[in-house]
Amino acid sequence: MALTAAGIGYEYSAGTEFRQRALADVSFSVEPGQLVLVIGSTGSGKSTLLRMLAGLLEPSDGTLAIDETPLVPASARGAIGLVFQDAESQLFAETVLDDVSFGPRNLGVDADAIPDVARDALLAVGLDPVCYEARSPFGLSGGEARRVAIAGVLAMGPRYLLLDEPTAGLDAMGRRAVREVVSRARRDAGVVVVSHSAEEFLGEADTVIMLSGGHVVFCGPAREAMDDLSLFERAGLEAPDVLQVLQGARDRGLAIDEFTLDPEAAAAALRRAGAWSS
Amino acid sequence: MARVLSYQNITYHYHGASVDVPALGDVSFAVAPGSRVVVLGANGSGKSTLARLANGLLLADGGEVTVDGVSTADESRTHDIRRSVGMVFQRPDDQIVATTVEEDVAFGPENLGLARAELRVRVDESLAAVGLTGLEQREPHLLSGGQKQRLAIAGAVAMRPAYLVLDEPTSMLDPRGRDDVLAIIEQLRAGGRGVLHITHDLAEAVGADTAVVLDRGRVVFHGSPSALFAETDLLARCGLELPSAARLASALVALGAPIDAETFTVSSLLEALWH
Repeated sequence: MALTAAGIGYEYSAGTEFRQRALADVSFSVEPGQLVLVIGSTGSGKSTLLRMLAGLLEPSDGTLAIDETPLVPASARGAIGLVFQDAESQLFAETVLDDVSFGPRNLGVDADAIPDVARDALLAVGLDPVCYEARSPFGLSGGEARRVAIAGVLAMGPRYLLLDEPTAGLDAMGRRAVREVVSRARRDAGVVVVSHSAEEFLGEADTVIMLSGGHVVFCGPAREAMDDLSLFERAGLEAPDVLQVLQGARDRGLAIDEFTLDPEAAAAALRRAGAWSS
Repeated sequence: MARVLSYQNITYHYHGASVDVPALGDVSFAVAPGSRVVVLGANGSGKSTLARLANGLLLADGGEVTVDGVSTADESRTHDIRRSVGMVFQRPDDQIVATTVEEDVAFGPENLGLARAELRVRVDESLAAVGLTGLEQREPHLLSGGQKQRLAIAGAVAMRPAYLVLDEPTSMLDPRGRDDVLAIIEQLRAGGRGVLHITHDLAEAVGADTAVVLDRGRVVFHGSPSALFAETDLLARCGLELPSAARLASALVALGAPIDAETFTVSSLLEALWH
């Protein structure tokens, strides 16, 4: 089981003199249980990629398939869930439960089953239905509202979950809660996260795709990306601070045995490498 | 008269909310010209309420906000206060009104009834201040997020305010957009404006003159950013996360590395370890 992209690209206004290539030649696959992190600065093509994966844009070239069956908008529906950037701005219903029920209702889920489906989705984003289901979506904190929006997508039971900048604009607590939701979601689904920050999901990603100006700068295991910070530079991105310090140590000839994002583990690696004499 | 934006014992309740939990309770601090005060807190701590009190968009239930000695509650001076205190909010898209960049910047000063030549000067100087010179005729919706936020700042700067209040101005931006906006804020401060910078990102407190932390509407810290970074328990309690470079610094200190615990950036860490 996998969602597979083979050489996909996209050209806006294709076939006209205004055509503009937004993305070229992206190939990767994601299976349930995996997390793919797509990073790039503004204009790198990451949102275009996400829209193609969601079946909202048809690739100008290359192919997209789920389990070797070509992806068409009808097959994307239900199988692939997309959480837009700033997703909470699309909350609309009078209660949290009603909002989360909207997706499954449109998919034709049995009306009697919908409340339980919605409650399960709320549990999956760490919001207890007993406390939250009757509340107005407009009285929630930013992080809670974002999680309700994610629950609305999870309630449709997607096998692949796509999230565009899921932590943008949230405070530390909200970001942590959303990171936990993503970790939990990948148990059942293949997850693709698009972000302009390398720091938040790099540590748990299986695959990293770095985009710059519509081109793939790197596509491979997250470990390799963390080991070669020049990739970040080539993609016009800032490497995570902790990795920069470890790289600084390596540049000075120290043998760093663990490239990690965790500050405590990094400090220990620096000590093992003899960064200071104790 | 003292030139200062001052909050004195401010209490504020939202209508209909429980009176027992004010949005702000007894908040006092001041922003002097040429300084940057950073106000930190998690969502729901009262930060945005604080911003809206600065120019009288909201009026305090108790205490007083004064701008260069004038109370925001003095209705006869509302226009002066709005000119003295420029506001920039989190979402740049919500702050853009015109169809070209230069018209957008001109929107505020036009309403002051300035002559055309003066208007041109204001627009040009404001766009230069935020690095958008050359994009005068661009349609705002074609700008990047960072450029849009710089445009919003230019619109505020065009009023030549003495104070700028920025409510989470970088939280929707990518790292490059954020760095650009932070550099512009620093330039505006160095140019003599008083900056009230509201954020939930502790990394943005580095270099500020004063840090104020709000927790559920109360001031729980008021001091220098470096003193704040040492208050790890307080930060955790308030839902604030130390920047990873600062966490690495404290982990290194805990392991006996000979560095100053007040080392908050990658370059200063590298410097401290291998000067």
